Amino acid sequence: MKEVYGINMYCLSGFHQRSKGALSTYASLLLLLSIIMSLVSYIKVLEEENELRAMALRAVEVNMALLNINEELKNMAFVTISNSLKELLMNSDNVDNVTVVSKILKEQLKYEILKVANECIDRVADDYGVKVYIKEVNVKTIVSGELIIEVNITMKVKDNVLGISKMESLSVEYNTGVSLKKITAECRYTLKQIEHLLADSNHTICKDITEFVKQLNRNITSVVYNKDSINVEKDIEIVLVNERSGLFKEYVIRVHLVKLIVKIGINEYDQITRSFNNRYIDLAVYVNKNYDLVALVIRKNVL
Amino acid sequence: MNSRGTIFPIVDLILAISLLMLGVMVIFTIKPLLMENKLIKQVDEELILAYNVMANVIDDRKFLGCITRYIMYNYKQALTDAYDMLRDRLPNRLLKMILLTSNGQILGEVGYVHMPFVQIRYVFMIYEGGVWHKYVLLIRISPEK
Repeated sequence: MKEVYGINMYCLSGFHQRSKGALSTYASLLLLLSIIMSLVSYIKVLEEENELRAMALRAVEVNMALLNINEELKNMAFVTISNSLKELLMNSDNVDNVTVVSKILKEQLKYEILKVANECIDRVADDYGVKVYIKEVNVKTIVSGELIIEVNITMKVKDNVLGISKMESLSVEYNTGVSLKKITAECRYTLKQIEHLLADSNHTICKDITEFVKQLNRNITSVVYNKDSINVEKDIEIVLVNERSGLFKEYVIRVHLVKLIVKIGINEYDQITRSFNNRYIDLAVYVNKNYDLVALVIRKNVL
Repeated sequence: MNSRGTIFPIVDLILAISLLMLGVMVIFTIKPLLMENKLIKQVDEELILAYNVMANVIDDRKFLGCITRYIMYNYKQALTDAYDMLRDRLPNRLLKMILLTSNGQILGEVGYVHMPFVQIRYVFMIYEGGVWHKYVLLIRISPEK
């Protein structure tokens, strides 16, 4: 064995070889470790990508839910407006006062829409895993020309999966096709025409009271303005007030105008086709006015 | 020296084995993840397509009208018409439409799909006899084989 300065050279060369081998082993292990670490980070990237993808998909799903909620809310609002409008117009005794009608409609719709929205919207939202809170319902009625109803619904939509909340607002406009001002103007005009006719018929001298009343009836019907769209409901009462020795009889004809029935076209919402149809309904404008006419029936041979 | 000579190879061996195990674990984790990723990508694409088609078809009043007509009058042709409207917008896809009540009872179904399929829904509220009723339309879509 060779010895240099007392050191065993064989041992030294063996040590060198071993350290070289160890180094290359550690280098390979380190390389393997780095490969594994990069794979681990790749896994993390993949997981994050999957999470992001899931979130993006959920966002699309929530958008679909919003579309569904908006569409159904719109449908519910239209059905409610259509029903309330018909009910109000058919049962109203004060259509003459446009401001009052639009105010009643506004209040009624605000309450009805809020009730329907609260009752139904959760049933739509539940299926999508979202929660909807109706914050505000605003109803505006515009009565210039045709009656237009504007509804604004503000709601908070909370996604139960991602826990994200979002404010949403929905705006719908319903053109009723009903011109309340035109209806009241037509009714007033008709009433005035009837009043003129009755004034002209007062203190009439005639031969037969039954014939006179029949004629009066015919005249009222013919005077009714635009008789295709307006009809009059009335009571006529004949009261004998005076009879003098068979020469003449004095009658008071009491004309009681009950109501004017106006045929109006309204845009009715049809939930089957989800569209508007123009439909005619009979609208009663209550008049409740009495007119007393005096008729003098002269005996035939005296006349 | 002897003790050194025996310790290092053991440490090396332990290190190598643990790294090998780690590597195997990583590979076993990465494989299903890659497959899941691929599947999610496919499902995402199908679902996004389905949602887009649904959003477009809702704009068409006829589609909703057909479904409502079917619910209210049990007019079978209306459901087929609605199905055809969707099918026209989904070429190279199989499609199935199922209409359910709020209790999950099937009111009607049309079409067929293969497994696997994606499913989307649309909730209808219909006013009948003074009460709002809920109906759910399920739409299942699968690629044509």
